[in-house]
Amino acid sequence: MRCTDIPDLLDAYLADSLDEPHRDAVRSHLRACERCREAAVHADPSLLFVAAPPGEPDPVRVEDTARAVIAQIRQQRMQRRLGHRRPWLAAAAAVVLSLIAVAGWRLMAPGGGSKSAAVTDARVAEAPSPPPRIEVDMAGEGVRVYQYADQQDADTAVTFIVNPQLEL
Amino acid sequence: MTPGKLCVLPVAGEDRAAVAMDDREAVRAARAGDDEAFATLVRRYSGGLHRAIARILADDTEAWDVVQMAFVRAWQGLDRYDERWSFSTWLYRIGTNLAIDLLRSRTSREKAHRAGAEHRFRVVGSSPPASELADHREVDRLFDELVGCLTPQQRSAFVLRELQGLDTADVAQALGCSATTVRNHVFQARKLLREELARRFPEYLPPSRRA
Repeated sequence: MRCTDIPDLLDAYLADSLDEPHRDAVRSHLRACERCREAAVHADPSLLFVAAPPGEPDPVRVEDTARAVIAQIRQQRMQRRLGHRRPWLAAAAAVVLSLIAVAGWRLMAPGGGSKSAAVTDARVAEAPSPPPRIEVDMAGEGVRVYQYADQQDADTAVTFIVNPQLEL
Repeated sequence: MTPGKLCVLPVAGEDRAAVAMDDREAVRAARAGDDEAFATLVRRYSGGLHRAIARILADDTEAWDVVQMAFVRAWQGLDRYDERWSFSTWLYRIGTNLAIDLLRSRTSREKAHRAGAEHRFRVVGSSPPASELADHREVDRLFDELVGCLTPQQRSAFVLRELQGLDTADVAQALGCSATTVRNHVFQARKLLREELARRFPEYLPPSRRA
């Protein structure tokens, strides 16, 4: 597009009666040609904003945004796998893990195990222990750590390392 | 919005049809779990989307947060994305709606902050003639000062149509209104910007336009 074309096209541009290719061409020309830009601003000062050359995006911010978006996507995908898509599976896994944890805790507790179930049961009846504490911790992106522990005896903790990618 | 048509400027210089095909392939791959394909879309469109959102919000920093949120929303809705339309227009719709929601929720404290920024801008402004306003940052700052006189719909229509170069039908699709309404918004926005520029920053007008 030549500078001599601009005056005739500006009115049509402002009236929004140009087709899109011509409209793009006028805008591109104004952004590149200082003399035509001045003429355009004279015709309509609001063209000052249209005719200003756009800046290039900051490549560092673009890359940071890409990384942040992908990190959020991965987090949401993992949460879906664990909770929303198969809630029954997650619940079943939790029950199984709890049963294993309680069994392990009782086996590892002082005086527990196969010595004497009656004695153990009696002790439980005398001083019922609180339910095991369950902690879930994120250990990096791909692994979760579940720890089941007697609240009165941390030495009896049972730890499970689970990779959510295995769909529990 | 026109089916299969491309409209956004960030890919200027490339073959837009090829980019459209590439976008669709990237979307399909992302649906199948390919994160790198989606990252390609983020890298391709985040700059242009940021430019638009930043001018709508008059805030460059906050705009990056909205851009990030828009891409996450887009990923969440990939199953609903209709491949007959351009990915970029769909993305602009998501981003613009987020920006408009944010504008409406801004508190009076934030407005007061902006008023302070206006004062500082006027004190340090160097008042160059319009012909020398080639620096986009200077023009962006000036636009940010004036855009408060527009409604969220007016500023969104003006930014998408005039600064980003989307066609009227795409802007209508992005804003959820008719093409006629878009033209009215742009017309009103141009008129208000013209008046505000003459009233508050006449030094930026050509001498022949100053009162």
